[in-house]
Amino acid sequence: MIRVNLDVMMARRKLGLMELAEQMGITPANLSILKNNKGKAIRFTTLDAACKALKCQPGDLLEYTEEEQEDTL
Amino acid sequence: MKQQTLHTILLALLYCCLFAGTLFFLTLHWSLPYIMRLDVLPSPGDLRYLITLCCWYIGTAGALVLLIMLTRMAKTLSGNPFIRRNVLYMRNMGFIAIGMSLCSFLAAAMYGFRPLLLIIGMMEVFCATLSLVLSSLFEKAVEYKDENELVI
Repeated sequence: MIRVNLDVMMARRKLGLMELAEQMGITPANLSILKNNKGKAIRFTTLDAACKALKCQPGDLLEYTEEEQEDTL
Repeated sequence: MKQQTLHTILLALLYCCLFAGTLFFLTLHWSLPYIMRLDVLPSPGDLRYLITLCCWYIGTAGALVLLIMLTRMAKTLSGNPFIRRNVLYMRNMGFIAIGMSLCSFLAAAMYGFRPLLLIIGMMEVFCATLSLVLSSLFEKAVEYKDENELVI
């Protein structure tokens, strides 16, 4: 699965949710969805805005992790 | 015609139908012999008449429940109609229509061959099928909308 490490970058750049949402031009609610990995997809324009606001690369924000397999009885 | 005006007219029509349906339900006991065009007024213990009366009561109650669900669905038209509750309503409306059609067929069989009741029953089956198919389509639409809302 793809993890969005928005909280890590926000902590590094010392940016709050409201501030980052304003800089990215999206609502705090949508930013929260991204931050909590609840989103199904992200537009390139949103990713572009995030990288611009956080002064980072897409790879700093997106990380691929192996999905944990559910234990089956 | 503006969308809002259309919604208002639709709601007004639904409320009128609800009112008329309630009146019909309450006066069914007296009006049924005339509706069924019975030559002789039925005696109190007449089983055929009792079954017919029950079928009509159940059918009318079903129709009222249908109208209430339709009214609730119509109210969501001005806001967001793509909600799971509307999918449930459409599905339930389909099942209620099937029940109503069974009542119609049973009532049609009680006093000899009643073609009008048979036609009404068949129309109810058609409406039930339509409602069930549309509820499945609507469910897909709700799923796509929910997924689309999570695209940031």
